[in-house]
Amino acid sequence: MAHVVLKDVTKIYGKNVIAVNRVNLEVRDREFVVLVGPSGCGKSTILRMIAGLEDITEGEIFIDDRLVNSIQAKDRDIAMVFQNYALYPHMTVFDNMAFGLKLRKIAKNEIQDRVRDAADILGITDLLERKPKQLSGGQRQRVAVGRAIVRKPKVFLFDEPLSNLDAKLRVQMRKEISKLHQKLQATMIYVTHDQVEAMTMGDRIVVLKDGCTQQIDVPMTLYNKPENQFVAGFIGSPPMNIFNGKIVKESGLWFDEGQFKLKVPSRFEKNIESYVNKEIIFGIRPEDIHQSGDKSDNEFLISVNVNVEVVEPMGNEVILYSSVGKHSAVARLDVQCQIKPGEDINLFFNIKKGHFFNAETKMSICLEK
Amino acid sequence: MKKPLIYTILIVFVVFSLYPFLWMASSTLRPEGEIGALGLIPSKLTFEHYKEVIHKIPIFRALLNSFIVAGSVTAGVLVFGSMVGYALSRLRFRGRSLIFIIILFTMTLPFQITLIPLYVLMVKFHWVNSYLALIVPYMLTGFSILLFRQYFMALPQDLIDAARIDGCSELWILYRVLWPNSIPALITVGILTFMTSWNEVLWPLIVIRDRAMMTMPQIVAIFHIGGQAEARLGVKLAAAMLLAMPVILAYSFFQKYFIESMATSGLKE
Ligand SMILES: Nc1ncnc2c1ncn2[C@@H]1O[C@H](COP(=O)(O)OP(=O)(O)OP(=O)(O)O)[C@@H](O)[C@H]1O
Ligand SMILES: [Mg+2]
Repeated sequence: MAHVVLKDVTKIYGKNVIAVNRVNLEVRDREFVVLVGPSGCGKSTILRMIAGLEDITEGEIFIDDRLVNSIQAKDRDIAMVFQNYALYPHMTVFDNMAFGLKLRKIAKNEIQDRVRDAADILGITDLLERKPKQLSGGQRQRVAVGRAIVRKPKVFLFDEPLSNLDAKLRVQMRKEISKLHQKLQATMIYVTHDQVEAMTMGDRIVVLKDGCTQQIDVPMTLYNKPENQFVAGFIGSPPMNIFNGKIVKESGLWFDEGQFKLKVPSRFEKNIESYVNKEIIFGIRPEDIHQSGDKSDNEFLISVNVNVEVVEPMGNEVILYSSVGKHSAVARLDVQCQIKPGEDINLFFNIKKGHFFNAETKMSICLEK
Repeated sequence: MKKPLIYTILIVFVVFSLYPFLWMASSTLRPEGEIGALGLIPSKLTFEHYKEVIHKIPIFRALLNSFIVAGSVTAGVLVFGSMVGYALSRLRFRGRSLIFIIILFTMTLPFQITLIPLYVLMVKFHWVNSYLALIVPYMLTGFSILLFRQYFMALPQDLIDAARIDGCSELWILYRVLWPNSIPALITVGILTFMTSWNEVLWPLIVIRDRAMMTMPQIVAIFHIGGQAEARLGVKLAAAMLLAMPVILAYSFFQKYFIESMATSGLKE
């Protein structure tokens, strides 16, 4: 059982490639923390520094209150699952899982027991005598996870373990890893670039961009209260609609996109006041755009005329892509809708669910409860 | 092209390259007077030449010496060459590229340049007339370092990281994880090193005087030009045949790997 603390951790490759920039993070005991962000944002580098595979340029990493900066990977009591599985090609599945235990001089029968237990949990008992080459991608992934489990480490590290699997298997393994986490009650740090994985698996999520943490919070808070435009756009699929515009004052405050105007709800007014006649960014999620205006809180539903471009029926819902002014708007609509591409229709924006961001800092303007 | 034509050409080449060897083989079994003939079938078989060679020079002792020397050299090159190759390909340290460049540079030096200094060194170490002089200077080669480095660079870093997390030291990573996955490189370096060492004449001629310490190519060369053969072709050819035999046997044994190694050693990035 372990907690992991990163204090102002920085990684600079060579002279001037700043891969990780002053990251602070506290992973609690038994927590499942997901690091998520676009390619190249430094996720793997952070994980590898925690693992001890990469030197820490600046800052400190603690595992269970022990400063590990200068402690070797093998003495940190962590296990890691790699994107490409990294199984030893010349060893059987059993030996792959037992290798780390043998090196640690664990008794033979204990090794047997641990490997069998792990194989049981993962459903790979029949494969123990095979070589990695004779396994499918999903099976290899299980072996890689098994190799981590048998070690009974303080901390599990996963680096995009599912990205080489097909979509269906990915969903299944996602569930299995979540179950495993509950079963083992271990601390896990999981890297992915897939926000769906992050949302579904993480107790908490760390959103990264260009080596900097953008926001660290539980999934629903990230979704509902993104601290900046990047988080707003990164979490959620399809992503949040973003509109650049201005705030104008004419009997109340209005967001003016040029093509259409939205009345700023009174609860936002205090914070928005200072932006009158200034650039501002308005964001609204696809599910907060509706087809009809007669909902319970219809005082916040504002009709906007859009031109429909693409209609994607998904079975349970319809994703509608449209253009409005110089922007595009994506909406999630009911399956019943009979909209055709090319039509001009009115959509209703639920402005109460909207987000405002400072046009320069990209920070959220209305984050109070 | 038509098949018969191709076959004709191939057969001509095979005959051209095989004939001299077969002629040598058959000549060793003929009486001295018949050796001038071009035919391959001896009219009368005789083992006199072989008997004389074995009687005159300690050829079996030389065979043993050659095996000890080539074997030790090969083992040394595999162990140390892969160590340096690993360090240069996967460990990060100051001066890494400089060291690599220096190693490449040593490969461009012809042996004749280092010959004299090396000999002086051997004399100072009192290694002349011993296995040490034959083995130690050859235990690490730029070629093996280069080949191992290139090969290891192509292996996935994750494999090394996984081993490191599993608890391997650097040496264990090399010998228990990288070696089993580098069999082609090991065989290539092994075969080429063994052959080079086996065929080496110049260096043994310089550091070995004691007949009991001589290697096969050395003792056969001395036998040929040293007057012991009394300018008779039969014994010379018999000695040459004995020299070639182990290589031929080894070749037929490792034929598959040999061809593979020839094919890969040139192609690997
Ligand atoms: N060995 C290295 N030398 C120099 N720069 C590196 C090295 N490794 C990574 N980088 C740089 O550091 C940054 C972060 O890399 P990292 O691998 O952590 O990204 P990532 O978030 O894991 O991306 P991905 O999702 O593509 O795996 C990138 O800009 C990358 O180019
Ligand atoms: Mg990565």
